[in-house]
Amino acid sequence: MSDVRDLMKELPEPDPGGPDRVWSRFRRTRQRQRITRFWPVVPVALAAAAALFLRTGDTPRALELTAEGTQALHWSDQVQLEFAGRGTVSGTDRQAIVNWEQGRIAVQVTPKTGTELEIRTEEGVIRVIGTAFTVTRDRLGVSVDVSHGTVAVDCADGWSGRLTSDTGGHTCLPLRPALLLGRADALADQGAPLATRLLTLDRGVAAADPDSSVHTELLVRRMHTRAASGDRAGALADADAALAGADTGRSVEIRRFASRLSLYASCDAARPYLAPLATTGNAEDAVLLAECTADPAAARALLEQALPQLDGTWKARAKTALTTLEGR
Amino acid sequence: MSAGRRLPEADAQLIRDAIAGRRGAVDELAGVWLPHVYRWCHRLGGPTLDAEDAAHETLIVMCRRIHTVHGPAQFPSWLFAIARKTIANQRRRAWFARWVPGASLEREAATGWGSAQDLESRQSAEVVWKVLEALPQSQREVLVLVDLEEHTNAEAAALLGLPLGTVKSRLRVAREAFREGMRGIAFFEPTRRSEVG
Repeated sequence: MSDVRDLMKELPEPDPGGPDRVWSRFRRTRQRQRITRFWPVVPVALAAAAALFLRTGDTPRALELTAEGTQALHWSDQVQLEFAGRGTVSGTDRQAIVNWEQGRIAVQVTPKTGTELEIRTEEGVIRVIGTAFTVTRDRLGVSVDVSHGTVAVDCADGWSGRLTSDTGGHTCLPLRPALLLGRADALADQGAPLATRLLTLDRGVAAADPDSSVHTELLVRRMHTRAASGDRAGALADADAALAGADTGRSVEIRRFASRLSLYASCDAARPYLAPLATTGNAEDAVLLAECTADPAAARALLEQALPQLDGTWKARAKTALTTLEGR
Repeated sequence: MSAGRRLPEADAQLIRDAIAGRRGAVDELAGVWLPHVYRWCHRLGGPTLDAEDAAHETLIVMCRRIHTVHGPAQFPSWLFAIARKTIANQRRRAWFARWVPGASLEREAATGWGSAQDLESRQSAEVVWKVLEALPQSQREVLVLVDLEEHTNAEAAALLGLPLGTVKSRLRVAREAFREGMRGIAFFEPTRRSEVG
């Protein structure tokens, strides 16, 4: 074998300047091809230009897209849109920009026509590379699903990549706290896993102004979600933060939830939440307060006042507490 | 980037872009693969073939037909097949040119082995090429890819779109035929080189 290789070495190396010469020739040919491709259509285009000038063609134009049901729009021979929602489309036949605000939009772009199309949303930009795909902007964010070809997606949340029909879709997450709150609620409505909901709530809490009511709302939702996932300490921390933040009229609800949660630990832990509830007149709160009150007379008074309003297990619980007090 | 080896992701992505019709991607792809194509054309075409012509034509066909490729993994062997076909076509044209008085002279002068080479090495190269030329195309390709371009057997198999076993057996036969050819023109012994030419 080595004798063959040695003999082969007698053959000269290719001329190192060859690739450069081929490259410049290739570039010239490609340029010529691009020009000649348009030659046959030039007379037709010139003749049609005047007629098209007033209507469509490459003169920039803009349209508002608003539809409650699904509507189709033939933007150009290269771009077809089907949408249900709200947005605008602007640009020319081969260079269009869709600003999509809400709902679902399906796009079909004829490949290999040099058409550029972008869908811009608050959460990201989706660029077409000759394809058909759907963009849905809803409470969850902006979801992109590709039917054919490839799209490039640049999410404002930092994710970017290319999607094909094989890779599956992707959702660009909202960035604004209010939209993250909406996504968290949508996830809860869908019965999404607690971990997924917590990720969104964490993002929202981190992004929101601590003095804003959105921040408080996000904290309240995270308190419930953390408690459901068994993180009582985290839930109580959220309760404290929510009580310290903007008043959203939820303080009673937060204290009530936190008091029940902290009773798992002790009355001492629950008392700070229970004490302010004494004035609410809620009979169940009164029972819990009585159970955690060191003064027997005050406890008895609370129970006797609450008893007529109670039934079921709460009534039984109040009677047991009274019996215990009488035994003291 | 190495023809016949696993493609880096960036190169694979460029191929996917070119297939999908992203603007400028196919020209970019041509630039990346030009050195490979040029070497293939030079090595497989030999001194009588204009490697620059063949490489240029291969790239132009690539641009025209890129949408027919099924994916990045298939691309190198697909491009190699275009180069082979282009070389074969140009060889036919070169054969025809020999029958047109004077047509081949200018070409041979232009595509010579390089004036800087001394006479002995030029003669040696011509003899090696003459033996290679005498081999069937299937054997010549394997020999050039493995013993000249130093691809592994597996890489050559991938480029040629052949099973590894076929490449190995072709290589064995090709090497033997090459040795036989060299012996046949009394060149195999280095001490007798000066007698050739």
